[in-house]
Amino acid sequence: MARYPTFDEYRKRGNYQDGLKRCDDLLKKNPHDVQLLILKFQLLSAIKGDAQPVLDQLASRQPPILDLGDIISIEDAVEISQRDDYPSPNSAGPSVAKLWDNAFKASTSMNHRLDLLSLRFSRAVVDNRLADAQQALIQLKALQPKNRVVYMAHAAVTQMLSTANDDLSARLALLLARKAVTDKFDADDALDCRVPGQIFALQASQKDLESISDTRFKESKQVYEALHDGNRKEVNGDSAPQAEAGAASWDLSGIPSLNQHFADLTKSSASLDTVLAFATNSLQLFHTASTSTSDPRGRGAADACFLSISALTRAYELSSDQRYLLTAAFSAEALLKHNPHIHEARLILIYLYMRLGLGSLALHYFDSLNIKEIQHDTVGHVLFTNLSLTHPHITTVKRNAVFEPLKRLSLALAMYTKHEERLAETEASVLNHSQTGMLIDLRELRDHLRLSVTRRITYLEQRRTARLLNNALGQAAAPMGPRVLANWTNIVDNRDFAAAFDFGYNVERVLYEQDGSQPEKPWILRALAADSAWCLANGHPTLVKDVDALVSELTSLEPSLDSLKLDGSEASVLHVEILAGDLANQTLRTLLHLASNDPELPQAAAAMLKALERLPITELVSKEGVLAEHLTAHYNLLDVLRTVLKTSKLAGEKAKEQHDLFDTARKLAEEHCTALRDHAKEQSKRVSAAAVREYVQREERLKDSMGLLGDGNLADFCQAVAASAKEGWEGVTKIN
Amino acid sequence: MSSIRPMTPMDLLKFNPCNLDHLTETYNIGFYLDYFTKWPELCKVVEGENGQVEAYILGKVEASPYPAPVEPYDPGLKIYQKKFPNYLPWHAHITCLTVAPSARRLGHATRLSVTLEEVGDAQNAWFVDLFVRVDNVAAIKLYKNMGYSIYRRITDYYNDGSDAYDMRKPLKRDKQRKTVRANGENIKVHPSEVW
Repeated sequence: MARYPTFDEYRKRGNYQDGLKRCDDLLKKNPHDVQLLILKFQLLSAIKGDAQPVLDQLASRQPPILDLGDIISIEDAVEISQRDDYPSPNSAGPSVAKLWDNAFKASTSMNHRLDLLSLRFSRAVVDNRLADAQQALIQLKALQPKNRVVYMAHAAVTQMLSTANDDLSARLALLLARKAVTDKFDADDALDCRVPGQIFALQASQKDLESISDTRFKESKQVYEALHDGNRKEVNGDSAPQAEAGAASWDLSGIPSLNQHFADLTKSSASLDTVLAFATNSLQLFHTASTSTSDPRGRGAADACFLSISALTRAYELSSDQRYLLTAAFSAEALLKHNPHIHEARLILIYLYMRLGLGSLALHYFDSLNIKEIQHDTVGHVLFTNLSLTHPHITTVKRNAVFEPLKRLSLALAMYTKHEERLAETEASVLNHSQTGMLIDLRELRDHLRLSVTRRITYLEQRRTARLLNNALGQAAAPMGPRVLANWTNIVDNRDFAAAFDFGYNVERVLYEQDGSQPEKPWILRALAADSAWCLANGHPTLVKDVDALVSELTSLEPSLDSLKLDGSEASVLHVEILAGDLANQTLRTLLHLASNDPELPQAAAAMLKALERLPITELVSKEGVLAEHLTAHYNLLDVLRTVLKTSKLAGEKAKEQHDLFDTARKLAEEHCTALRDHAKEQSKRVSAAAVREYVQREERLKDSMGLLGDGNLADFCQAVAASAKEGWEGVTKIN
Repeated sequence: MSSIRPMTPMDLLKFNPCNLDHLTETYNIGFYLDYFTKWPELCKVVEGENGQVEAYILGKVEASPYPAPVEPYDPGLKIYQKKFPNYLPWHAHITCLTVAPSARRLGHATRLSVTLEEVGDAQNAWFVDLFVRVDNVAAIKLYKNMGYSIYRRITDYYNDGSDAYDMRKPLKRDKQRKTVRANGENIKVHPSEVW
C-alpha cells in the first residue's frame, strides 16, 4: 500500500480533512487495517468529530488486536484526545479496556500475561488513569492471589479512587485494609505494611487505628498524624525556649518573652506608637546582641533583628508608610553583615524589596539563596509573583554574573515537568520496588505540583516577561493542559509562608499580600485575561479554549470599578491592578466579538474605551515618589495598553463601522503609554541616595536606633536602594 | 512540641527551614525518591509545631559491592585491619543529617541519629558512618559527642576539592569495637579507594 502521511504531518499542516478523505479511500481497499483506523481516529479526534465508532470498530475487530504496540498506539491516541477534558478522566474508556482484555484472554503464557498487565498498570499510573490502574491490579491479583505487594497496591489505588468515606471505593478499601490486618500481613518482614494504616487514617477509622497501634501497620505519616493530631508526642529532652510569665525584659535572655509580648501586641491591635516603641527597643536589643559575646544558642542577634522586622512590618500594615519597610530592610542587611549565613534574613529581604518595588535587590538575594528544584514551588512565589511588573530585565547580581528573569522563570517551570515525570515513574514501578506505602504520598505530591498556584503564577509571569521584552513566544513554556479555565482556577497552595520566622505574626504573608488578600484566583484571572487578549490580538492560540468563560468570571468578580482610585493608600496598588485587569478583560471581549464580527462589537468596544478612560493615569504620573512607588502599576498598564493598541489597529482594518471609536481608543492608549514612560524617565532622574536617606530619617522615632546600626552602613544602604529604584524606573522606559 | 516521624515525599514541600541554609544541599527529586523507596525506615523528620520540618535524616544500609575478602567478615582479623581496611561490611550510613538553624541545640540531631542506630542494630549492621567536611568543626564536635570517631580522611572528596572525614560509631554487633581505630585523621585515602 502506498505510504500515507502520519498524524503528526497532518497536524503540522492542519489539513485534517484531507487526511480523513485519504484514510477513507484507503480503508475501502483495506477496511480492517489497524494503522489506518488509528490514524482515522486521531484525525477525527483532532477536529472533534465522532471518533467513538472507529474506536469501537478497533475494539471489536476479529481477530482481536494482540500486538501490544498497536494497543499502546490506540491508548495513546485516546489519551491525546482526552487531554483537554476537565476534570481529567481516570480511564481511557471501555473500548480501550476491551482491547487490553482481548489481548489478555488470547495470551496463554503466564509470563506474557503478567507483562501485559504490568505494562497496562504502569501506563495507567503515568497517565493518571487510576480506574484503569485498578483494573490491571484486579486482574493481577486474580493471576497471583498470594502476591501481597499487588494486594497492597490494589488497596491503595482503591482508596485513592474514593471521593468520600461512604462511597463504594472507600468501603472496599477499608475491607481490604482490615483483611490485611486480620490475616497478619505484618508477619512478613519484607512486606511494606503501611497501606492498611494509611487507609484507616484517611478514613478516620479510630477503632481500626487503635487496633494497629503496636504493629508495623502503623509506620506511616498518616497514622502518626491521626494518632498524634492535637496531642503531639513530646520527644525526650529539650524543646525550644518557652515564654515565661511576667514582664518582658529587653535582654537576650528575655527574647522568648518578647516574642510572646509582640504576639500579644498584635492580637490586641496595639497602636502605631506602641508598635514603633517595640520596634525601637528591638533594634537596640539587636545592636546589643550583635556586639555581645554571651549568646548560648547563637541566635540572639538574629532573633532580636527578626523581632524588629516583625514590629516594623506591623507598623507598615497600620500606616502604609514605606519607611518602616525600608528600616526593616536596613536591619536585615545589618544582620547579614554580622552573620552572612542567616538565610531567614535573605528570604525576608526578597519579600521586602519586592514589596518596595526594588527588583534588582530582590533578584540579588534570590540568587544568593541558591534556590533549587522543588524549592521553586514552595518559595519561588516570593520573587516570581509580579516579577514581570517589577524587574523583567536582566540585572547584574555579582561581578561577572547576571540574573535573567526570563531564563530563571523558564528554569523554574522546567522543574515541574521533570518532577512529575519522576514521581510518575516511581509510582508506576511500585510492583518492582514494592514500596506500596509510598503510593498515596506520591499521588498527593503529584497532584500538589500539577495543581500548584505558584506554577500558574510562574507560567503567567514568564509569558508576561517575554511579551514585555518582545521575546518570541517560542521561549515560553509549552501549554499547561488541560486548556480550560478550570485548570487555572482549581488550585492547590504549596507556598511556604513559614520559611523565615514567626513570632505570632506572619511577616511573610503580610509582605506578600495586597490589601489583605494573596495573589490567587483573581490575580490569575486578570493575568490570564491580559495574556489571552495579547494572544488574540497577535494571532496566537490562547492558554484556555473557553475564553468566554474567562471573560464572564472576571466580569462577575470585580467590584464596582468607579469607586476605585489611586489615593496613596496601600489598597490603591491593588486598585490599579483591578483596573488594568478590567481593561484587559474588555479588550479580550472586544477581540472575541471582532473575530466573529457580531452585533455586540460596538458595545464591547465602548466598554473597552470606558475602561481606558477610567485608568488613573493622571494621578499616577503626578506622583513624585522617593523610591519605586507604583512601579508595578506602570508595567501592568503598559502591558495592557500595548494590547489595546494592537487591538485598535486590528479593529480599524476589520470593523470599519467602529473606526472612530477604535481611533479614539488608539490615541488615548498612545497618550497613556507616553505619559507612563515620561513619568518613569522623570522618576529615574529624581531618585537619589540623599533623598532616600532624608525620607527614612524623617521618621524621628526610629532615627536613633537606626543610627546604632552604623551611619556608614546607612549611607551604603541608601545608595543601594536608590540605585535599585533608578534601575527599576529605567526598565519601564525600555518598554515600547 | 516537636516530634519524630517517618519522612515522606510530601515533606519536600516543608523542608525549607533546613534546606535554605547554605550548608544543606537540595537535590533533584530522584535522589529523595531513591531513599524513600529503598530505605524508608531510615528517613525520618523532626516536625515542629507549625508542621514545618525542623530536622531530617536520610540514611541507608549497605556493604561494599563485592564479597568480603575473607569470610565470614571479622573486623578483628589482622587482614581486615592491615590489608583490607577500606572494605565496608554491612553498615548503616548517614547520607544527610540536617537541622534548621532556628532549631539547633535542641537535641534533634542526636535523636535522629539514635533512631538510625536503632534501625542499624535491628538490621545487624556493624557500625554507622558518615562523611563530614574537615573544616566543619561544629559538626565534628557534635558527632564526637554522639560517640563517633574519625576512621579516615578522604582527600579531595567534595566538588570544591575539600577533604572529608569518614566518621564511624560501632553498633551492638561490634562488641569488640574493632571497626573503629585511633588517629583516623592521620590516615589519608583517595576517593577511588572509597566505595
